[in-house]
Amino acid sequence: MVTTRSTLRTQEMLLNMGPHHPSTHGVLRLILRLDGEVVEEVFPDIGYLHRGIEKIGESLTYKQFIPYTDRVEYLASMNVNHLYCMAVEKLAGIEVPERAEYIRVIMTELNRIISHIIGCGALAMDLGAFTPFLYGVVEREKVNDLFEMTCGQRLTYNYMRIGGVSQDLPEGFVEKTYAFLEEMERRWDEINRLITENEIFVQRLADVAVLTEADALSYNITGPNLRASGVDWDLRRDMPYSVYDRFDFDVPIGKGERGTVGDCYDRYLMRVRETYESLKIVRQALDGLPEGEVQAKVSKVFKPPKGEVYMRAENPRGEMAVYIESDGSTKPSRIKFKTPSFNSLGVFNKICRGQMLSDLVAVIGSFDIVLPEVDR
Amino acid sequence: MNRIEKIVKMIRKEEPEVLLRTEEEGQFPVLRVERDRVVPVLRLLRDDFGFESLMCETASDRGDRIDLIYHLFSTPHRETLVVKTVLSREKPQVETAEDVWKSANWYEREIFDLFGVEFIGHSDLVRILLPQDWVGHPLRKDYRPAPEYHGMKIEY
Amino acid sequence: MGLLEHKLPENVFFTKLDQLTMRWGLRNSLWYMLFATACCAIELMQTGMSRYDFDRFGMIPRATPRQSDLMIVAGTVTYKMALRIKRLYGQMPEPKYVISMGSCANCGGGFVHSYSVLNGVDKIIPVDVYVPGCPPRPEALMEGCMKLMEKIDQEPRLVRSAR
Repeated sequence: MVTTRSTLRTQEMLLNMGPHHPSTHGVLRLILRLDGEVVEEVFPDIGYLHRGIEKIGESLTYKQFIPYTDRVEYLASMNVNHLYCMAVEKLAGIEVPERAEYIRVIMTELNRIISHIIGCGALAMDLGAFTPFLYGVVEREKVNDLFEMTCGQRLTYNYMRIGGVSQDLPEGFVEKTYAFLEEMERRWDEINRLITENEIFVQRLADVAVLTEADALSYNITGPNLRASGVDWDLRRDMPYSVYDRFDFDVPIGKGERGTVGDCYDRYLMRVRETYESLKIVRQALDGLPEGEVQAKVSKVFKPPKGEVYMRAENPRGEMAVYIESDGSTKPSRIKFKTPSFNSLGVFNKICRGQMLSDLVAVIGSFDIVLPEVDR
Repeated sequence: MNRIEKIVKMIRKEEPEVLLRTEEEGQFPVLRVERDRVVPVLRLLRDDFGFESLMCETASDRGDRIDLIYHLFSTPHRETLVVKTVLSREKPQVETAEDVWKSANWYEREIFDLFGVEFIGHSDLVRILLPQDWVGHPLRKDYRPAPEYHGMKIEY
Repeated sequence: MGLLEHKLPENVFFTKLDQLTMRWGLRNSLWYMLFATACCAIELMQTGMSRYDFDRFGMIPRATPRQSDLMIVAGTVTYKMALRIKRLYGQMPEPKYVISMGSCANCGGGFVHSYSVLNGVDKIIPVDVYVPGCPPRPEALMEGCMKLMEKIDQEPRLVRSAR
């Protein structure tokens, strides 16, 4: 008998991807139900890095917990530091000195830049372009040096304190940062020339895994991923926290330039453009950096009043929020981190259906998922 | 009349038998709803008041009870609303909000995993962060882990 | 005349077989498995990138355990992950080495009091070199690798018995 398409016996296949897989950005495990090469269903299996940070927080004082916030998301430690400190300050009604606020903005935006370097670079690397990542890490190392001269750490900074920052900027920081901004702008142009308009790269991303506006809101996708779906919303501009209302920057919105609104290419493009905006913000903050104290007076035994606080901040991967319940003692009674990557992974089963298996890597990369943030 | 009063008045009209209370002293207006009617109220808030996303759903062990906390957000009105409900600690059960917001699916799996709250009608209520064969719900205040997991001693 | 020709005028040199293959060959081509769990992964990645350039030690990342000589456990090991690490270690061919990178993999680090974190990867697999730090600097990781090379130099037998 001749085997034809109609007599060929076919069956669905279950494929396990991860938790040890080079392009799952950590320890993500996806269980895939495949029909040939087409993905029928995706079941993300997370928790391989669940470290119980929320439970640890209940047994530490408010100040002791700051180093753990670094490790909630290590690619944007400054941003999480900032978020946590803002939340506790709001709870206790602490006024932060202006210079400290400016330093915080400089640090968080620098962190956003190097986080987007990894985000865009890793996406390109997963699709086979190794060079942008190598070039990007050259710039990332420079920011690592800037952070190191400020707080002594390359990755987990523990720089911000409740009511300010741990120490003032070191000598030479401002000049070096100006120099970095110049170099980074040139380098980012160069990386863009390499991949952004590259036809192979565009073909791999355009029209892949389209996330509609309604889905994005219902699944509470935030940050660049939400803006890629065409929603004009940026917490820094629309509900400014810290001193973000003093800076002038644009918010890029996905327009579906090479495909559909909300596809992988749009999500990639948002990160590329946001990096330029962050460079702008850092420059303005350096220009307007006021003199003065960097730490407000906070009592040694810190006891915020009874109550609860829910604070949001625009992090590189979306809106991260922290919910703290205080019972009036030195330790919080509940800390909850609401993280953007958790929601991004939740939408996978919805948007990956019907995609090719090889495109799945592009989807993971375009959402810029970081696993410690999902698992906490 | 501010918006939160309007919301309460509207809910009273639509769902007259709901017991609810508002608290204003915190950061956001809080709506306390009894356990059985929480999902209809949430649906009403989504449909009639534009709370199109559920930012966060979480629980908190208060010793004698478990609080379930929903943080809703409305982008056009730039408004946050907190909805709270109280569950019993012995047998925490509540209807799922999965049909109202899709994001609730994973939030509820996480709450089930870490607090042991059962969501009635949930499509896939299994552990999400901890292994499937884990014993206990860690974020409860009286949690003590099993002595070992697959031959590895748990030091806690 | 170059250095090599000066040292070996007839292009011939004598050595023991195990010296050449086991020690010299292995120590200069430690292919490590791309296996990273947490924060240390970023430092491990940056060590392999432009500035620190792991390649000059002959260390090339491999995606599969079956081609790797070295496993660098970079980051926190949870109980859920521990079972996987055990399996991946079992899939690596002998001779195999393990570097435990960072406080979490060494002893649990800051997460030692957590309910879901294994206090040290040495509870499940044997570790050759411990690199302290949270996370360790790339220089520290490179020194750890050099320590491992010294250890390989001093290994007494050609093939280690299965541990």
